[in-house]
Amino acid sequence: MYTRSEMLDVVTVDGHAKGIVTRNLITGEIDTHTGHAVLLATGGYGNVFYLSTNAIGSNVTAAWRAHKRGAFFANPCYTQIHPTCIPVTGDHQSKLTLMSESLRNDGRVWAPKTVEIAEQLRKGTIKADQVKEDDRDYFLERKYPSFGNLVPRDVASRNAKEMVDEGRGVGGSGFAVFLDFADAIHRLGKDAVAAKYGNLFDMYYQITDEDPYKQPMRIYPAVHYTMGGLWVDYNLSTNVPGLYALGECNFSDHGANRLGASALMQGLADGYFVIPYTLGDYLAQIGPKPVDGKHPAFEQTKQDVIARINKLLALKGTKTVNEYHRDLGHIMWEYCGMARTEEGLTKAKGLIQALRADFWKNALVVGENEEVNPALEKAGRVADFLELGELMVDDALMRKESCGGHFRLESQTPEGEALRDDEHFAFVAAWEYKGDNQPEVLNKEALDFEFVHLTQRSYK
Amino acid sequence: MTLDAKIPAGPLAEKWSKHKFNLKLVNPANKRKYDVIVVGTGLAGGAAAASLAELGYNVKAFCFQDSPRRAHSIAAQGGINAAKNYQNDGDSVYRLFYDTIKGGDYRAREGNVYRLAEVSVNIIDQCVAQGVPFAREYGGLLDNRSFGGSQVSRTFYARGTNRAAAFIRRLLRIKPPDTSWQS
Ligand SMILES: Cc1cc2nc3c(=O)[nH]c(=O)nc-3n(C[C@H](O)[C@H](O)[C@H](O)COP(=O)(O)OP(=O)(O)OC[C@H]3O[C@@H](n4cnc5c(N)ncnc54)[C@H](O)[C@@H]3O)c2cc1C
Ligand SMILES: Cc1cc2nc3c(=O)[nH]c(=O)nc-3n(C[C@H](O)[C@H](O)[C@H](O)COP(=O)(O)OP(=O)(O)OC[C@H]3O[C@@H](n4cnc5c(N)ncnc54)[C@H](O)[C@@H]3O)c2cc1C
Repeated sequence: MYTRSEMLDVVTVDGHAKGIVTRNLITGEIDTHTGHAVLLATGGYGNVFYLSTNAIGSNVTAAWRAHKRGAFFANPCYTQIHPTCIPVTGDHQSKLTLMSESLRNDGRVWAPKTVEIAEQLRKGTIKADQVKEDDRDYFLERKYPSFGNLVPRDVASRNAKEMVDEGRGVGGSGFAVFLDFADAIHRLGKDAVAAKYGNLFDMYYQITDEDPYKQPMRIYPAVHYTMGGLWVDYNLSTNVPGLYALGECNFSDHGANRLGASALMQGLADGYFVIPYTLGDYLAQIGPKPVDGKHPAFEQTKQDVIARINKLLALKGTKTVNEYHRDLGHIMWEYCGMARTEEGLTKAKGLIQALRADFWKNALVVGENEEVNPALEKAGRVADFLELGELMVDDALMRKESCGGHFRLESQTPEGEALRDDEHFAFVAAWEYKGDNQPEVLNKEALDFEFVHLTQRSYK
Repeated sequence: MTLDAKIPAGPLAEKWSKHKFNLKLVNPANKRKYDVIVVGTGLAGGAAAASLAELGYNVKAFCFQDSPRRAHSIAAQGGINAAKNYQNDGDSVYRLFYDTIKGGDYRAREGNVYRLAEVSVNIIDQCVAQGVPFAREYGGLLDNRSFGGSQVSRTFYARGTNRAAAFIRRLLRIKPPDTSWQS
């Protein structure tokens, strides 16, 4: 087991993946490793938004470097924004905390009916429990009587945003709605609620200093999961033979929106029950002859990695890498977040290109390679996010329909739900890298539905 | 370029079994001659590394944290879906398949999603066999709750924050006999 080892490139020989290049994060050593196959299980890219519920270290680098070596990147714009997170409190923040979706089993989501009451709540002149029942809008229960508070994440998130856009948001910033357990506590008793959700209530209390047994929680959507990822076939193989992708890092099973508790299901299914079969098929075909680590492709790829590190270390500008990351996050959240438009996305594309150009001129990367150097690690990851961000925007621009987590304001039903365009967009978008600063090429994999009947998704 | 997803033909419920049957096998004695690189040791990579090592492949696993237990996967708190129908509330492999296709707004492959629903049933057994402390009802049966986008209770979960972490740790603790895993 190689810990503290960051993969920075894939080595391909005659079009087949045959190894990787890693950097030892403690000594800075750059190594090559041979393998008859390379499996990437490197997680999602939600941190392109800077603020997300993902671990701070989660990044796209492994998948992105594989992409640049030929692996197609599928549906990059499909992002999941989770409805129940603790709202952002300020600029200093580096991470957001998820409050489990299971809370929507018993918690009721609401916003005040009027802007005036919301205003009082924001100023703190009244507290949530003082808002009369008649003045509350349990908007999910009202709009979706059959699923109620358990509508899918994309639907719940968009509705919370709608409340905020109407001026009915609560909390100091106005970017929040309530998740209320008063009914459940009344019905089941405090102990029963504590037994089910006590850990989450404690976590909320520790972070916000508010007691959710007494006042409703304040929640707001945050980036949580990315459905897009490396394109793989039924065998979990990318289009580069010998290179496989598993778990959140591939695009495979969740379409345009993932259901709760399905990520672990998919990751474990891939790892335990699919790859052990499908990988054998490939290995049996290529045979057990040892991989030749002396093949020039290994040294060449290693030199590419070193050159890139040196290029990053030569950046002695004035702006920290973290600031670039935050700026990128703002652009992505604003224009490629919960609601997207042609105009906003076009603007975002320009902004990202400019930011990326600025990064390669004015970023500050301190330290050396031969040491523990978090600035260097982060610089490499942010540089990749700056490229991925543009591809996400391209993908969102191309997909003129709304579907799942991808909501184009131009394409909605009269009730404001995502309106698909099956005739033109029932395909997987698999993007092909064509070189630095070149437009990527779109390949389409048609989605054929033999067994289910395509309908307008409805949770009413 | 046309992309071939290699989805096997035939009825949904038979695709995966047929496909497995048609896949070539590596001779058990030859498996140790193959090196398999696994980058990432969250739940997906951890499960793959463990299974492949158990089969006899020479697995080289990589992560950037100081231990696989620090993977992002440890943050998961809600649980895992599986079409076990323990609640007798009308769940089935087909319903989980259908919910997932619909939840994804019809932008995923039928063949893949059906397979996912199909093997979901094994995942829970695998986890229990490895000692994952899933929450149980008073009578000892595994407990479930509901998640968005579904009208049945099919989510298996662990109680309490520490339990949630223990749950992931259990899965990542599996030490296959192969020594390369520990190198
Ligand atoms: C039981 C449990 C439940 C959780 N539940 C939730 C939840 O419900 N929702 C949620 O949003 N989050 C939750 N979290 C938090 C979430 O797991 C973390 O955000 C995530 O695990 C990783 O966070 P991180 O990347 O910020 O840091 P860490 O996982 O803490 O990793 C930091 C890394 O940096 C290294 N490091 C630190 N300092 C240095 C240094 N000076 N030099 C070199 N290396 C250094 C460490 O060795 C480590 O590898 C939970 C965590 C736990 C343990
Ligand atoms: C707070 C929170 C709660 C969640 N709760 C649930 C839940 O209850 N149920 C559910 O189904 N899903 C949940 N999810 C989603 C789920 O946790 C993730 O989708 C899943 O854990 C991803 O697992 P993974 O194995 O694909 O990747 P990860 O767990 O992200 O692991 C990635 C691995 O790759 C390694 N890696 C990455 N890049 C490199 C590189 N360049 N070089 C070397 N190593 C690298 C890392 O070190 C790590 O080991 C939750 C997510 C969050 C953030």
